[in-house]
Amino acid sequence: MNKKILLASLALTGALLTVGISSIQAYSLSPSVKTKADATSQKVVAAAEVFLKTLSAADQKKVLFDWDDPKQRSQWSNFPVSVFQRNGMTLAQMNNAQQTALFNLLQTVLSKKGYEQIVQVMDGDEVYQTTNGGGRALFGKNLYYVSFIGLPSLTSPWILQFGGHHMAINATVAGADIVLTPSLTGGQPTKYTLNGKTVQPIIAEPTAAFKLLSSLSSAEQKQAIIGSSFIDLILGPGKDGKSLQPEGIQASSLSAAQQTLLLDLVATRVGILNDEDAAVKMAEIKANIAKTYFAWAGPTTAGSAAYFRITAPTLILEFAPQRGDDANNHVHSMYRDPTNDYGVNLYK
Amino acid sequence: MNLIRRLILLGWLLPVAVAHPADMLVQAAYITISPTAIRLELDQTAGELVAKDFLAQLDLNQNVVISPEEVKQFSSRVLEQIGLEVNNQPVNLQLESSQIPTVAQVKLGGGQLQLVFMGTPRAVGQNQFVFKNGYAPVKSAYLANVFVQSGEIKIISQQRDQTQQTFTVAYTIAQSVLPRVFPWWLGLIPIFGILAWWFARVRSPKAVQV
Repeated sequence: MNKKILLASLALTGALLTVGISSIQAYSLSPSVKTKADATSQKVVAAAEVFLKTLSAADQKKVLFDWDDPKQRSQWSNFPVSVFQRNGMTLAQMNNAQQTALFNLLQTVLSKKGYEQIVQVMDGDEVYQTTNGGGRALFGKNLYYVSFIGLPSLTSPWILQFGGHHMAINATVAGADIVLTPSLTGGQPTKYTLNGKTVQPIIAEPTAAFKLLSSLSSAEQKQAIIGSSFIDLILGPGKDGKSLQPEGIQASSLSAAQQTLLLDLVATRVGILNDEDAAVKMAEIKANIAKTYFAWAGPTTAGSAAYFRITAPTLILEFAPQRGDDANNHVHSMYRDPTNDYGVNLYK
Repeated sequence: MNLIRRLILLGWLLPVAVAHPADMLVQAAYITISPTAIRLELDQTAGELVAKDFLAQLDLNQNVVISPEEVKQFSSRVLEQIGLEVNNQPVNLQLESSQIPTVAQVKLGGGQLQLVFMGTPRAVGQNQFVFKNGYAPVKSAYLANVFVQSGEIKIISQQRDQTQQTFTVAYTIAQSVLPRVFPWWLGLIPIFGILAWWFARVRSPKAVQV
């Protein structure tokens, strides 16, 4: 009898150890971060944990991916779900409490302006669904996905992925550092009316770009312009790890005022991230301003559909209107750091 | 399997535009230079208004599956219309890999066919490549860019024509990263050595067992 109990206990202990070890193995492969989590990161981690606690075990399984999952890392796109299938949980699959917790998490990661922008882009997709989308449930607010690569942690890196049509936010949290590279923003329509108000989620960017362009002399514009019509994104989805050669005009040849306009333009994109982490990134970009290039493809008349790119040692920004009846009403934008996409420099 | 995935697999098509643009085949060429090879990635995405004509080039037997063999045949036809020259010498491009979309994805206007070609041009010091894309089974929009894989390669200039069908890039490869040139005839020495040894052995009288 005692022997049987002993054997049963051993078997049970073995089974528990096996389950325990495999669970640990599933999420413990994350390396350690280089910096100690600060107040912002603590808030983000706390908000992520609150969100995850609202989910059932089955739903947690849907949204959590191993840190060493390269496929999930690049599982984002500008396309709607009918063309590109994402993983994780959609807003449609969440109840109100879960959605609230998720939006709260996004607000801790992003700036006030950045959060407003992503909400407006989702609203725009909803408008698109009801107007051009024929009412089909393959566009719209409900089809934005959330997923986590690695478990939210103060000491190990992890990535929050949130995206859908015209949006892919990849926020890597590593100790005190939070980076948004690579992220895709944009929208269609880029101008719409909602509740009697005109909404333009991404208007700040082209406005700042035309301001910079118009500050350039004819000779400077000649250096900056690489084509007479707009082109598509070069480092869009599926182009991780590519290195792009700078083109256009080098900022070292610009005046201090023009350099400020260039930094203002960069800030419209980098500023999607929370103020503290965006300030760190902007300081880095400012330090490299002499090695930064500005390239333009398209007409130079304000309001025209034009592509622009900013290339710096730790930054690539692209803004690409899309062909169609109104190219400015359908835009794809890319934000990358050739040295630090997915925060690869933030952990050991 | 969720509903969306099922709909995609079943080829359930939307009557709305999702491609960018809808009435064109977008052909994006990404050329990567490394010290010993040139890689050409050609991504082709047909808008849904031209998807049918594009599919006719791909799904030759019209069985609603794009097979690797069909892609191979397609890539040969594409190769006839594109050209890559390094220092005025044509580069012999070989299909290395491909990523094939489903017919349903192509019909939706978002399926991307990716063809990767490799070539090994002789390139030392200062070079120039010219890439030309004349493939146009339907109305097409072109994009051409260069990537560098090594810090030892410096791009000096990039020039595109109006439609980006011709792309000219001047670049240098640092001498230090180039493999040393190994004369092919040196490889014959050990072969001749082995043959001589074998011949001498065959011709020599065998030892007589007493």
